[in-house]
Amino acid sequence: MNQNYETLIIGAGLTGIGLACADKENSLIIERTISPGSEYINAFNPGNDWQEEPLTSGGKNLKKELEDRNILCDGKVHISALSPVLYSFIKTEKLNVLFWTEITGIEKVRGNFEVEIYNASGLRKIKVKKIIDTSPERRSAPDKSSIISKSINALLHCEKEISSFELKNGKLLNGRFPSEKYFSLPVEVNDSWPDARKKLFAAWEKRPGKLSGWLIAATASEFAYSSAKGPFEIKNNWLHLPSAAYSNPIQSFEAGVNFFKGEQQCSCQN
Amino acid sequence: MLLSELKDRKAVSTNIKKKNFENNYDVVVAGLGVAGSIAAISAGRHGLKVLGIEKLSCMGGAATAGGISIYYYGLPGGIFEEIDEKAEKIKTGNLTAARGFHPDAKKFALEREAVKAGVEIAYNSAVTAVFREGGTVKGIRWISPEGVREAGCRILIDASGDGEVCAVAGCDFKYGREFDGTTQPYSHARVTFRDGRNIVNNFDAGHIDPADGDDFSAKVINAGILHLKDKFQEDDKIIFTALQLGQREGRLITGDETLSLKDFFSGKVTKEPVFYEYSNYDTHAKDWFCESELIQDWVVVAGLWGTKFSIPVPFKSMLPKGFNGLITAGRCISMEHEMAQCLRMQRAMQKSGEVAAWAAAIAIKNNITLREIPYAELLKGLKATNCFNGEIIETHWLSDRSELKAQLSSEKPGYAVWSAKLMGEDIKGELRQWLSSEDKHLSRHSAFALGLLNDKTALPVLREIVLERDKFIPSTSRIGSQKRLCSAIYLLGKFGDGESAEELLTVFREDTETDILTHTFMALLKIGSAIPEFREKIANGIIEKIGSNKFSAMYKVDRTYDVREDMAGYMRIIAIKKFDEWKIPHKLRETLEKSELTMRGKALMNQMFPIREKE
Repeated sequence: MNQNYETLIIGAGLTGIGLACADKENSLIIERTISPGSEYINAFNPGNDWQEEPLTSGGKNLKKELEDRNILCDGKVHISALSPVLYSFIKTEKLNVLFWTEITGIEKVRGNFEVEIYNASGLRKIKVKKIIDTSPERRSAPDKSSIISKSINALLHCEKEISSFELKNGKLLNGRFPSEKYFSLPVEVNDSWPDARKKLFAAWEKRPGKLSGWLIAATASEFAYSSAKGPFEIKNNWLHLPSAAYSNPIQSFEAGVNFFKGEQQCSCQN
Repeated sequence: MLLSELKDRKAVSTNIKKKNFENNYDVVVAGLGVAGSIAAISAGRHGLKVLGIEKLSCMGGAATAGGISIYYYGLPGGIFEEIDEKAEKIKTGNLTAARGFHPDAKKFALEREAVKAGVEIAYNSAVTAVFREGGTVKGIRWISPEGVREAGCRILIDASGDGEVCAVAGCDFKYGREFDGTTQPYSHARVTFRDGRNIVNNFDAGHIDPADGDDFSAKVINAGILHLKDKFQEDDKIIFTALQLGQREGRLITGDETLSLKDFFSGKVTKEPVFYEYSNYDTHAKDWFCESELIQDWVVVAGLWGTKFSIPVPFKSMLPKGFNGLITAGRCISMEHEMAQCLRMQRAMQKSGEVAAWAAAIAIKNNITLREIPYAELLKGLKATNCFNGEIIETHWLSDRSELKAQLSSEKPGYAVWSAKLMGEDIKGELRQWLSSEDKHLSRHSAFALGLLNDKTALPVLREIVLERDKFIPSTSRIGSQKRLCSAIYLLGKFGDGESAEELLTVFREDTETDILTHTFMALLKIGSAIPEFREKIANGIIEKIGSNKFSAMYKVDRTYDVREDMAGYMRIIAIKKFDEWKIPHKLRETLEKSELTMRGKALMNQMFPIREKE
């Protein structure tokens, strides 16, 4: 790994991956988990508006690959299978990504940023000119003000299809396959994982009898956030562009790809 | 006060002004995985003020986020059983059926018990520094979603799995096998829904250096790609891919006592066990020619990969040497590489967490150090929660000679081969008689037993196995069983049998499988080491093959997935080392420089040709 990069991208979500595509050699993505696209995949957030046509060639290719691999069909997605597609994309496109890596400090030194990172090798410093944080909680300078709402989701397996069923508490979303559904339960932005998980299990235990055969196959390990659209300026050349501000993975990806094409005006973040 | 950090793989300590921490805990548990979750819950139940720090957003580690939600051997007993029962109740009627237990039920059950026990949980966080006074741990620094945090603690439990916090604190540790310094293959599990339940798909994704951030990240990508399919289908839909790699082996701390498989096999075991493991020599490595003679005797000759045994674990193996207020739980406890293949299963790891918590509670209550805890008091506590119940499963070796003969005549001769080795001189006479039997199994397996007893009367039969290229694979174990040809070649090398050199060179020149090729390679080097006059011929024969740029020896890391590693560079490094020792001129360095070394090739290079740091 080099010690100098033009741009440091925080988060290997779809926007982070899109941003890195704009300047592959000079960008480094730092991701604290081992999962790319975790704002959708690990959140069990299937997104919506999939019928909208992608605007970039990269977006079109990604959508086509999802369709070819039977991951996406008629606007319904098997979101967990996006994971290997993204790993493969990162390798094929030769993106610089450091997974399982934390940002432990950022200092401005002579107009550039000196960023301290921590991973299996221990602490190291890298120098970058620009920082774009795509994480919902703005991990590089913790602040939740761009978060509009959050949910805790679960992936369901259901043997019997029940059409158009409304829940009082939370909502049900369709997956790619008839047996694949998602349960999405809104929680408070400040709810911790234990609080949110407790609410999720309580809500599912109390689900209507009609859904008794629908079972949780897995619960999310990331919250499904709805964020305001960035970019927001944290400091000069240090921006926040939340990946969770878009409808689906393709749109998040394209927000990254298009970002450098005539950089958008930064919004104020209160 | 000292601030200890890990910088570019090196532990660095800096003198700082004494800290007065705003927050102080009795116990900090670093890593809420398999061992750490139980440590935190147990410590909380003891009434201690506990902080648990976890990189992910849930408890349970490999058992939950890692997708390995199934027990592999181990022994019952301890609070994990009560939590497993609670998880089963959570699952019923709400979660899908699962092979093993349901990871999300366990995740929730662990978290609920931790919260109930008053444990403060810091998810999405990682310990980055340790504060200490001399060798005594005083506190930690960690990175959290809210930024950098610090707190004091009386006892720090390193349950990071990889001994990462001990490495940060500056503890000594060992890493990987003696031969090449590398660990066994890693995995990246995938949970799919098939046949009405969640199923874990586990595989070997290659070799990794878990203490190197760059290599770790590259291997995350390599493993992640292995889940890709041309077409995903509903009948095997992905539930999730693991949120952490399956690192089966990493740092092993240097403790007050170090567990060794060699000692265990020779009956040298602790008289003060605090828990037991029950497992086999469960390595996923398949490049047996690099393993120690002990392991090649056990697996390559006797085929005992699957044989299980109960291992008593002493408390002292959990205490990092020279440190106070620091204890390890999980697979990084003080043991040698070979033992680390066995002592890593979830039941035992959970027990180790419970032991660490009991020790912390006793030390804090009595205001004594962890080292001062009387064994009887610790055992009394562990018995109270049934964590230590004295239940073990004995491995029974054969003593009846007719049974021994019958098994040597069978296709599953492994127990008999090892039993004969244990019988020693007493059985040699009969084994020698059986060598000339017309029953091929009896004759050849008796030769293996005599080989393990270092008895040269085995040599003619071993040579005959090579001449015949006997590729019969005994079925003693479901995994790891070797072709009889490989077993014989290994033993001939171990004997340094000059009479076999010519035939082994012929085998080496043949276009043969990698396992046969690599065993032959190693056997020839051993024969050359034993008999100087054979060296030039052996070296020339080897160079003729591996000196070519086109030479490759593909080692299949996984049985199902197409994960391969070319051992060519690796073999050239071994040969260079040996031929330099023998003072045989060669140009293998030039060939080596033209090829790209794998991560393990580089590790072997460092092991065999260490670069001395400037003073």
